[in-house]
Amino acid sequence: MKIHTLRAHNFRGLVDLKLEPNGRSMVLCGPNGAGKTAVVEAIEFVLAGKVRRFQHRGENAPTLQRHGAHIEHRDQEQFVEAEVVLPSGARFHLKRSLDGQSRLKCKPAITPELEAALDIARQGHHALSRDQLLRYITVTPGQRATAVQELLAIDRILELVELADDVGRKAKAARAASVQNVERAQQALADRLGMPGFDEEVAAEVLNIFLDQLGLPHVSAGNLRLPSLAPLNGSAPSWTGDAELLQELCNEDLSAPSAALARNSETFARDPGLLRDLDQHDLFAMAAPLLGEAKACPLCDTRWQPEDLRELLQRRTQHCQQAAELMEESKPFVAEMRSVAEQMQAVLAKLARKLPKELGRQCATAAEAAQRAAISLQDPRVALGSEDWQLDRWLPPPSLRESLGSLPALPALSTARQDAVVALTEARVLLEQLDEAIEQCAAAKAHNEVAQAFRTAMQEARNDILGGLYSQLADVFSRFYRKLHDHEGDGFRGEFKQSKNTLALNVDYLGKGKYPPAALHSEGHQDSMGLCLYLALMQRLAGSRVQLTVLDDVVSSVDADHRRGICELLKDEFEGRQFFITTHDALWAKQLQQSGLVRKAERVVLKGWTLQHGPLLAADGWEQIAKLLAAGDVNQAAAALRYVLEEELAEVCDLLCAKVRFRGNGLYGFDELFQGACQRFSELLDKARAGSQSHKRTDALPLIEERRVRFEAARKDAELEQWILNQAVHHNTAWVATAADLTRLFNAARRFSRSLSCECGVFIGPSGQRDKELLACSCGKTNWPLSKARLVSDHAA
Amino acid sequence: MANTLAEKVVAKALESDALAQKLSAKDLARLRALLLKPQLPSSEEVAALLAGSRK
Repeated sequence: MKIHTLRAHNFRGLVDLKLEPNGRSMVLCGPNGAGKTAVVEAIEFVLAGKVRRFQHRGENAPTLQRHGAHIEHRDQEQFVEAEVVLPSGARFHLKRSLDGQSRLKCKPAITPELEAALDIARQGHHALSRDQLLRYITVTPGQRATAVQELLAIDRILELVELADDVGRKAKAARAASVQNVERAQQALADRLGMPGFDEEVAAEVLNIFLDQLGLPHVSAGNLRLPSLAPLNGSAPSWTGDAELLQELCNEDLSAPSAALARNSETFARDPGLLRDLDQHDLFAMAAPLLGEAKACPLCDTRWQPEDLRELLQRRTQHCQQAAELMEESKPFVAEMRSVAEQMQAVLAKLARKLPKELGRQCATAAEAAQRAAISLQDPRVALGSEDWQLDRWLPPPSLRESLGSLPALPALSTARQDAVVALTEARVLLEQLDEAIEQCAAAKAHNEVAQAFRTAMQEARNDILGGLYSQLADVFSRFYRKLHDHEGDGFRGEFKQSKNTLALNVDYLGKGKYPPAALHSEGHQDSMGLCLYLALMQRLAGSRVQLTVLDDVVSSVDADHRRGICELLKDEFEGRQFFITTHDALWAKQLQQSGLVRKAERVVLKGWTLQHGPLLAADGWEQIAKLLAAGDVNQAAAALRYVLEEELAEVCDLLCAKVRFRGNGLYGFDELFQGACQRFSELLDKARAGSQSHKRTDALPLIEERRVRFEAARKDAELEQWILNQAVHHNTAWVATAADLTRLFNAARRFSRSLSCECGVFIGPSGQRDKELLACSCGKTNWPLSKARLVSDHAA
Repeated sequence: MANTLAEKVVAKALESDALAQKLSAKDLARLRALLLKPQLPSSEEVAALLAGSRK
């Protein structure tokens, strides 16, 4: 995302500031309090809906809501709006008002691409300020890890590793607890068995002593499972109750129902038609009234006299009724006998399972007979046609009843046996608890192994991935730093060492070893490192997503030479990126322009700030002088002209590395700057001509010659008219400069300035390795070789 | 970026021999999906998955 226009209205100290960078980098230069940071805050506000300085919490802490508006215009609308363009070319108009700071008005509606760009701003990744620089450098490794990881947005990775740690810790704790549970269960069993400590072989021996008492099979060390103690757990045999119940059932008087069923069964046996007619009762009952005077059977057409047919039907109906009455009479007898048969079958079946072989077999046979009887008695019609219900067929034989009646009771247990039963019963419970604890322990062990494998795998993966990332980061950081400090040699190298929650940074110090940055390096070097690390992080992060970077006063403790390096770094490494740079250093602002990173139109000079108007934008110096001359203000024009010339000449001398007499107070006069610049520029033109001849740059030679002619003429004119400036500035009362005099000087000075500049308006100067390769401009239109072509013999030498 | 890095870490972790020996391919895929859910899973959810999935 790049900003094309920005307007801040009644926001912070900005009354109605409009900037039009049109997607290009911009530098805002001005003294303290001119409103530079307010512009940075306006960008942050419109993109993220917040301002960092108002992020502090506390009852009396300033808030954006209360203190965001311009102090003189609180009753008016306050807003920031911007036109932004995304990498896809999509253009959006964003507007955010202070009264609805969390709500962004966006036309057209927000797209996922814009949302992603705004998200970067919300995380504060688009901006770096002076106070933030050192948080990457002069902090503890833990704080650095937090700052770097925050910028890299790798908190999800850290959360995942922490999650794996948590899973591993809990699994380990659960495993330890399960082992303790096993030990406790073992100790409880050992205590019950009278052992000082648990030993499986000893436990088996003790248990076998108790089992011997009861004549039960032994257990072994590998298998402590105890045999069933059920038969021993009472003094009376368990079959007694069943045998008594059976006797009671056998004593039931079933003679009456049995006799009635026998009688009815005999009746049915004698007259088989009864059962047959029983089913046809309804047919006969319905047919009689329907028959009328029919003379034949409607079913078989047998001829009948009507009276005879009616009589037959009447007789059959009566037959049916007799069968039904018999069946109804039999029902209670059948139910009574079935109940006894079913109970008897159940108790005989139980006895069959409990009693010794022969007696058990007899009970089983009797149970089967009782079951057959019960089945036949489920339906009276089946019972009356069967013989299974007859008592002699299913009642247990007297011999069996006699045997069951005389079953012996088990002898009473001895005290020793009773002790054994109690000990083994308790041991069984404890053994079950031990088995359960061992099972849980095995599960916990298996889970712990998986959890630890997961934990280790996540940690190793984090170290591997982030280690690679930090290694790449260190490479880029070191390269950037070397670029700024190339005169300190190529050996500089920074290294990150990550541990769980820390990220240590050690940097090379003059080839004498690696130390933390704050240990030996100057504050300016540390600022450089902070900037380089931030830029390295941004480059690593960015891809094409981050196109806007705000650098708020980040070079205040970096000297002029290194600032020039920063210009080159930003230009070379971040092509296509839009920078918003604020600085109070006019020289750096010019260096940014000189390097080509910022165009003249985007070098915004703020000359001050007023409560009424907000930041005061300085007009172009030459235009300002022209206006003063047009207005006839000769003295002001002369002063402004001297200021502009001295400022430009200082810039030119710095650029050309001109020889100027050194002054400890840093104040250089117009004359000495002028002479130094002219002498050096002339030398460079000579070198450029020689270099172009050597490189056979025939295209460059006429341009250089034309430049020399223009430069010499402008130099001569400027020299001739210089006295006017001196007289005007020093208010010589003997002679008063006229507007015409000063206009002559103005035109000569302007021609001189242009003779040192490229078509693009930027001063040309030496560049390339050690400023010895080219006389050029950052736009590339002026590009003349300074060094001579090397001969083959030179290479050989 | 963050997602890509997190995905890389998870993918690398699940490639580890130690974990592959203990979990089936299906369980590893379930674990990956759980770890990369938008909402970070709880340690109990992960533990339950690990406990219920053995080779």
